[in-house]
Amino acid sequence: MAEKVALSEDRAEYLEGLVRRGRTAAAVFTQFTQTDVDRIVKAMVLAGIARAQYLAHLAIEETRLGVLEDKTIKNMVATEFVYDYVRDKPSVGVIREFPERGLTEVAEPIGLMFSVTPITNPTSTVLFKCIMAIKTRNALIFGPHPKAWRCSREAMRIMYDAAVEHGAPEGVFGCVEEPTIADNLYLMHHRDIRLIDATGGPGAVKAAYSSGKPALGVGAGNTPVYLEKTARLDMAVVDIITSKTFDNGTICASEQTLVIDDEIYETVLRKFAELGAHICNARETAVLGQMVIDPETGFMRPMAVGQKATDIARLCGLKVKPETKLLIAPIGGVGPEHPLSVEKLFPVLAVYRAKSVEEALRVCVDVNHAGGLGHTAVIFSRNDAVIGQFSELMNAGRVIVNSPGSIGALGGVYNDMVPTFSFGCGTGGGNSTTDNVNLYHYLNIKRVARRTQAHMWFRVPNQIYFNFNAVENLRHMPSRSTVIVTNPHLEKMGHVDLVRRSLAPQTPVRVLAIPDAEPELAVILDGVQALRLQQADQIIALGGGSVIDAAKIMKLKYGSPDADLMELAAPFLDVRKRVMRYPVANGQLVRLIAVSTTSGTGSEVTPFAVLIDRERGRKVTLVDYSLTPDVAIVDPQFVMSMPKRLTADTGIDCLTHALEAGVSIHGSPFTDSNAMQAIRMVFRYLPTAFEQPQDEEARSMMHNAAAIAGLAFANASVGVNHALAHAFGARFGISHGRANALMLPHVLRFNASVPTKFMPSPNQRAYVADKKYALMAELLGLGGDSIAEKVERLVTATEDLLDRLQIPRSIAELGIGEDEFERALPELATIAFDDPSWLSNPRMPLVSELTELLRCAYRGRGVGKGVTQEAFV
Amino acid sequence: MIGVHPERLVATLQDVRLEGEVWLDFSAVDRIDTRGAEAIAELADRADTASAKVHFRGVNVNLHKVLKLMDMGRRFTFTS
Repeated sequence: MAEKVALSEDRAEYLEGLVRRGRTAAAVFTQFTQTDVDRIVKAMVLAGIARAQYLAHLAIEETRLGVLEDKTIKNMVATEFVYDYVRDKPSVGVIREFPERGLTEVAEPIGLMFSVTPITNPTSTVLFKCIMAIKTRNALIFGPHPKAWRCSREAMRIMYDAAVEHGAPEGVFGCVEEPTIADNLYLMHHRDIRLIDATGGPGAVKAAYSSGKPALGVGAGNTPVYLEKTARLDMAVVDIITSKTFDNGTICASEQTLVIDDEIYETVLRKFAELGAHICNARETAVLGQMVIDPETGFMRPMAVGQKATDIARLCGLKVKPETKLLIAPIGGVGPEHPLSVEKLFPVLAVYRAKSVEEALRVCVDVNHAGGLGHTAVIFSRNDAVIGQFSELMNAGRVIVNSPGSIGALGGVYNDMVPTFSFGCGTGGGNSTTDNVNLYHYLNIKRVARRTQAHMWFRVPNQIYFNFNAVENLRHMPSRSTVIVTNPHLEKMGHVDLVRRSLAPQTPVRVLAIPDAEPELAVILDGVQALRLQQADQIIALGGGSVIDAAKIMKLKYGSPDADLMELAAPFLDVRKRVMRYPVANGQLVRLIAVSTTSGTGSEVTPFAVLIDRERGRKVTLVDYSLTPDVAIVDPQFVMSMPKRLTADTGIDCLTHALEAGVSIHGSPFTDSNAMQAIRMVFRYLPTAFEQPQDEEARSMMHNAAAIAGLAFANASVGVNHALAHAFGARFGISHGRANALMLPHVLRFNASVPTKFMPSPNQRAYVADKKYALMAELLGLGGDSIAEKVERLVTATEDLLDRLQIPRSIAELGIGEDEFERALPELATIAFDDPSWLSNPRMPLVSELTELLRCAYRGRGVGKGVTQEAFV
Repeated sequence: MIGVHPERLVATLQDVRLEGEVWLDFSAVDRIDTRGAEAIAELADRADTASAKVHFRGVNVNLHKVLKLMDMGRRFTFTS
């Protein structure tokens, strides 16, 4: 039942009857197939074509507007052309499929709709809407214009009879007889009306949108047409006359104000006159303006709408030839003082003489904004630049080029636009669409979205050389100028000389020794300066993670001096969708060779680089595969003299990379195989490398393990362990590897338990972290029956390894007071939550869980183990 | 249980005696037309007046959707 609108009981009951039948028909219609619908539509179209002239007669007789021949053509377009557009288009069930995207679009009918139709096109609009409604399995009640309801009803009856005869549900169309505005309002507010499709004057459209119902409201226009000097003038003049006189100008897309370039103005007017236009003088223009435009409202007077040019001239007391088709009225501007610059649905065309393209465009904008926003604009030109500028400037759903505005906008005749009798005018016209309204606006389109797998990758350096003396492969890498980036300590140790000796003979070399710490921007910029001076084509990064990271960033800035490192470090969720794109080097190609001198970071094979931003007091992480070194040299002779503590810390860093990549949501068979192998190698060789530093096999295998773990986390990333280690390591000055070690057993238990929150991960088919840990335990031969038991054995084995490497058991053991730690905890948890490392963790951490993990690490491994595990279950 | 034959759907529904509980078997009905739909709506009104409970059995899912669209879902009970 509708609310708010007062009607007599009888009238309300009458309208309720229409709604009841329509609603029932709409429900029944949902059972119909595409074949059913297409059969009915074809029958309707044939019926409409057969009665096109008859309906045109009725329309003329009832409305006294327009031209019989043109109305007949409109009825033909509304049936034949519309059918041509819809005939092969699916509208039931699946209507479109995008298999490569896993998307399917499925049609859902709207139900019962209420449609307001205009006096200007009272039969063609009805024919069009009936076809659209049946094609989409909707029921429709028409609220025709009060002065055109009989011919509109007859158009509907012809469609209805044909439809029902061919199987459409009875009651599928209804028409309000002797309609009133109150009837329209009643129906617009009726709860069973699902959509209002209002084609008509601004009042009807506004009422539709004000009803609170979904509405397609398409209304008035004021079409500017620009006749630019490069246009084909004969074609333009004929097109404009054809359009503006078509059905006596009743199509709201027809030309209203013609703006003509000064150079062609006289010629154009002469051509118009030769083809039957009357060019008004100033007095005649003034009279026309007073007679056909209401000075109070500024709108056209109804008495002129759809009348012949000669009849309008007679009404205004103008003397014109009997064969006059069009009255052309020169105006000097747009606005209330130029009354003919508004919409005129009759064959009166305002013209404006423009001294320049700029002026012409400005006047067209003015016309567009004088009641024509969102509707239609027309241009005749052969200058693509001007056409482009015009299209940019006009706020019009349709910009018609080199063709008649009215027939062009209808679509399907002069262009490939969708045929319609309802022009969407976008927000400029207070409408919901700028489209030519068509069957897709009469459907709810459902998107069936199948789960897709994101494309994955395995990106690594082009070449990796490993085992003792791998550095000798440098000999085969020709260079005109090489810069070795290293630190003073490694230079003293003779590592630089070893590299020098391995280079191709005669290679010019410069050594750039940078501080043995994570690189600062100033260090990077100095390095870039050195690269420029040397015109380097090869950079050899000889060192641990800090040196290799510095060289990666130097290469980036050397190739792309304008790269803003802070912008490139912007956080992202998915590397493929990130906002900031890394530049493609525009200078010479530079080869980056990473020679690692520690066995842990894996930086020689990864796309990560860390930079210290002293100004802001923070670490900046750069991530992009363009940062990955071109060549990695994993030569264990560079790590034989690593101190024990460094061996332990970097070795556990390597283990953490592998364990985290092994359960990462970005993991793949490619990364899993590397992660698993690295884990096996660390457990097998790290104790020996720690306890017997000169054991070449252990050193070699640990050096390889670091690179192999790097290959895994370069593509699968890390997890919560790193996020936490970054946070508290930076706060308390704990080395990265050691900070990782302190967190590791606790994070393993955390990830192995049932998550409080799962991470969205389209590439995972189940929560598998615990099972993957169990698999690692199996690989290590740790035994255990259940998954839980295997996980626990992996944790215990990890703890035993940490003990063997003499790594402190707790943060407390590092001498950090409990009070100090507790005070720092809230901030540490927040910083850890901001760290992007955990975004690939299998379990989404809550801030409270990060806090608890830090507390566990403070208390230490093996303390309150049961309590810790329960906390995460 | 009253079997509803598609050809006699309207007549069957009009003839149903509404006393206490009534069971109608729609297993044979594949699709309904407007008159059938109207007959179901009328049956719902009569059942309300007679305070009768009407159970539909074997209504296929497409027909079930039609009845939901007509707001008939709450006025009958449905069993498979």
